[in-house]
Amino acid sequence: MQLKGLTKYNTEIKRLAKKTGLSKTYLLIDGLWSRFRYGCALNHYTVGNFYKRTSFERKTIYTYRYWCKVVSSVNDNNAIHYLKNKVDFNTYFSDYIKRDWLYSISMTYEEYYNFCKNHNDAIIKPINGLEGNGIEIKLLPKDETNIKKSFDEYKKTDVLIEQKIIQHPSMVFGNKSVNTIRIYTTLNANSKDITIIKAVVRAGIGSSIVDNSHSGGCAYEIDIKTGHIISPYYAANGLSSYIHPNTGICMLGKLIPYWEDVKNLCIQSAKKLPTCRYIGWDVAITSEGPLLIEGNHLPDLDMIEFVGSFGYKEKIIKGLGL
Amino acid sequence: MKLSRLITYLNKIKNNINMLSRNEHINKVWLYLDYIFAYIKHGCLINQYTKGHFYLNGEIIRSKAFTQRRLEKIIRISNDPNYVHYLINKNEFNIYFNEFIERSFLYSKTMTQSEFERIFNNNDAIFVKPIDAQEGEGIFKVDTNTCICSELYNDLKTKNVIIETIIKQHPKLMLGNASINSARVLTVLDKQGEAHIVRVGLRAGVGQSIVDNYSAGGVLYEVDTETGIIDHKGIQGDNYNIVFHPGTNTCMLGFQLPNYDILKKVVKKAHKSIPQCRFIGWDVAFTEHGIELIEGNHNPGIFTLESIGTPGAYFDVLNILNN
Repeated sequence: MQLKGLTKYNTEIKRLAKKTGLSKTYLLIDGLWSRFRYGCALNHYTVGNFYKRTSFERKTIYTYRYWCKVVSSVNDNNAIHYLKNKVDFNTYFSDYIKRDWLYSISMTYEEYYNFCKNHNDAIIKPINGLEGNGIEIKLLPKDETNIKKSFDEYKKTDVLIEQKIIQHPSMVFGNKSVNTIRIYTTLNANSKDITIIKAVVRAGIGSSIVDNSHSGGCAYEIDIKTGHIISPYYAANGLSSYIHPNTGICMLGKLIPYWEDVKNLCIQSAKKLPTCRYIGWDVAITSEGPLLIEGNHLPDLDMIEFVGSFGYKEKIIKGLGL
Repeated sequence: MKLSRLITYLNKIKNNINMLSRNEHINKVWLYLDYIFAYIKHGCLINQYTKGHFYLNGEIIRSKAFTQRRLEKIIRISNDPNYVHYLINKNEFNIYFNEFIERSFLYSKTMTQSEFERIFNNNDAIFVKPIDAQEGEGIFKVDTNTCICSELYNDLKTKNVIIETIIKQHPKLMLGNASINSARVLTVLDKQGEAHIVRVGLRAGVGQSIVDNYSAGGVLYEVDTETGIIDHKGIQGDNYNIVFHPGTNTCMLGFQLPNYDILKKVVKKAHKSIPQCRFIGWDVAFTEHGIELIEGNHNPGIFTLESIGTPGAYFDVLNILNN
């Protein structure tokens, strides 16, 4: 296992050396030093451009080591099921969900029948899925025989059946997925103030039905104050541009609709779960306003430090009151 | 004289390093040592080190960046001193590049009273520019409705200036300020005589200033050389985070410069017409139907080349010059 890790390390450093023209030996030593001194993970060093940072900047960067410390200490283990379990989440934050949904295990035939009659499509989500894995869009049956048949099939699975979200026209970037906003909030242990640490918008590519960077999606930083997109995209493959892939759409300067409402929604949601003080909220925007998709108690580090601006360690420490 | 300049410069180093150390909580001794190293190895002056954020760059970026020493070297090897007068002297520039200039102009030393009267009477305002002005210094605007033509003529005849009519800029570039907002386009000729655009920056003035130069309080925005879209936050003084143009609600990120395809063609054509100078920073205004050259700089300022966004302009320029 350790050998496998070392091989991966060597391969990635070799790739970086080839891409940048820098000495492989230098990068190997600097990469190990960054791991030891700053707690920087390999993908942060290579894809997250940590190798470019000076010692001044490195000290300010929120690395994997600090991320582990934060997520293990500020989120109450007894409360994280409200974020982790999609049914618990939708129930607990029902005021902010603003869409119909059913849980396959507990739904009745009548509920499912009405759901099929009221909606044409549904999003099917595995109950404990992460990073968009296993999510599907399904056409809902309209005749009774097929409704009964699909009901019986869903009863054998452990999934969430959700109404498909029709997003705001300004949030469509030539792709198929719902493009969501990720907002990181902290709750200060002493003052109880909630701070928005960072905001990014994630836009899927082509026909992918999810927008996560792990599924090829692109993430752009949003100016917290104004709601404008202010950075080129970050994608998990390390590419970056301000033109959304395959569309020619210039993303820089685009204004996220209902921005003040989006921020308020996340602040209200964070207030509702004060025992989890560090959360990454996923928000979709429809023509009527924003709604919560989910909350993450282990929110990705890459959205904070890899997309646009960097150096969030101090802001997070202050925000949490550590 | 030299000693007093050295003392002034040392004082400047001391003040800048102290301020940087205080603001950024960085060890002062470390900064002094690092600056000395940056000066010896890269030829970086103190303003670029502190205000140009050179101190933040690692060795990889530093070695590819323009510094004063490298800029002087590039100018020395690229631009033939016998030809730079076409760029320095505004009158000669306007004559040499008349194909790319639509505005009317007169040279104070050679103009006749009737020529001056024609320009004076047909325009509400005119610009007066010292013949070899740099960074907007000494330029002033004259309101022709509030002064007497003959008095102004006699006054200007005693000076070494150029008189120009005002460029009517593209409406998209009216950003709530009084100046013409121009692009600084750096072009370099390769060995085959092909012109390449290396960096483009939009300089937008603020408030009532009649010039858009960064040194006169304007904002500098880096522009993507291919598409003509502003792709970095603007810089004004020490503020590197300008998203909205000051005093307006215009979000500059993603702003598309008008007539950018024309700009690319024109500056390349203009540069090819003076192959003896291979490294030029052009100032270009945007008009409703195209673009107009304002001037060409044989010694473009380092700030417009290196500190506004994408690092490594020196490396890019060297690559083109050697190809």
